[in-house]
Amino acid sequence: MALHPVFVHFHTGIGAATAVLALINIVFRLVFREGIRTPGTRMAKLFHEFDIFIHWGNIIVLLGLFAGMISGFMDWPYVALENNAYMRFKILWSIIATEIYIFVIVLRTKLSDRVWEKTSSYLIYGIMVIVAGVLMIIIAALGGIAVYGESILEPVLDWIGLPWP
Amino acid sequence: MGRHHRTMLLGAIAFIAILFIGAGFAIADVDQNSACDTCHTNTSVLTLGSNATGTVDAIVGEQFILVIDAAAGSEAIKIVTGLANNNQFTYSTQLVEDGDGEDTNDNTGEITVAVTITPQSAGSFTIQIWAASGPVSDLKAASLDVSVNVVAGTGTGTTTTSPTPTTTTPTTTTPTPTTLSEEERKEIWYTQMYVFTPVTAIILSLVGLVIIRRAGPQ
Repeated sequence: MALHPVFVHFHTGIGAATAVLALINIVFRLVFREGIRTPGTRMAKLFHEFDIFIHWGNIIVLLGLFAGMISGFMDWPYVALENNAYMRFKILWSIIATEIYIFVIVLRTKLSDRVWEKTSSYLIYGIMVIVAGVLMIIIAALGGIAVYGESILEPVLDWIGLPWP
Repeated sequence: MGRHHRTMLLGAIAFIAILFIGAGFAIADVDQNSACDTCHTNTSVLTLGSNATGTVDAIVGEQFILVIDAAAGSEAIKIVTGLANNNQFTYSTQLVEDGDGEDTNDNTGEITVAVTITPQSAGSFTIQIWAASGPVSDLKAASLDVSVNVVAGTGTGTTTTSPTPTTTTPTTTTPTPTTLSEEERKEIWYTQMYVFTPVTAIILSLVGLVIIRRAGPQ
């Protein structure tokens, strides 16, 4: 009985959403710096809500990643996974994505919304959330190809040359 | 429940519905290049056979025909180049799906195909053939190994059927692999696992520490 598919769809969607919102918040922070600092303005509220969504979204994605890994190894024997290029890529980059999510969650928990104050922190925080979200999308797309035989992202993946090795 | 919350709830329901609908577009995967039982773990249902009785004798560069039969719900037959000694031969077709033009069996779930095979070099080889089918909830596969003894030189090779003799230009060139073998790919992957994951962890930890220190106390 396939358990893995039950766990992987929701948090992948959340991961993609947090990446988009992180990009929007970086743009807000760069372009509308004063607007987001003025309490009570719509811009400030939106920025704050996006920040909260990104943080809790990251936590959900991390939990989903753990569930996805455990269920993946429950569904298929390890030897079958290591013999498949798609699965090899998914295993390696799922671990990297997990590390990035732990990094951004710890950073945001430690600094609270001060993470958006300094350029050195918010750029790294935001970019890492985007990188992790893109990784989630790629990992999911490769899983889709491995199971269903096709993915809407196939032209992009072919262009990049994934999966490798 | 406020209007704002209702909108959020409807949005969430729509999102989940899209996920479920998206998951419904499942089709059999015939593009894989590893053994079918890598994913199709149920190997007890499908049947796969051929007209080869014992070891097939063949001659380098001279074609022979192998008739392959898959049944019991088979959706595709595939001869994956990288498996066993499959790369020692060329084939008229390496993938036949149920109902294809090359499938001479009209019954659904049954495939019969005559594959013309040309040995590329001398030696004792095994051709590994796979049949596979879905659905995703119960992926099934069956494999068939055909032993072929290929000799160099001229003469009449034993064919597994009685095909019309076909003359081809013999070639003794062994195909040179242009891509990495599966074993080499696995080794690279293991290296990446041992290098990338700890290095990423160390870099992220250091960057995190620097950012937190620079931010100062709350």
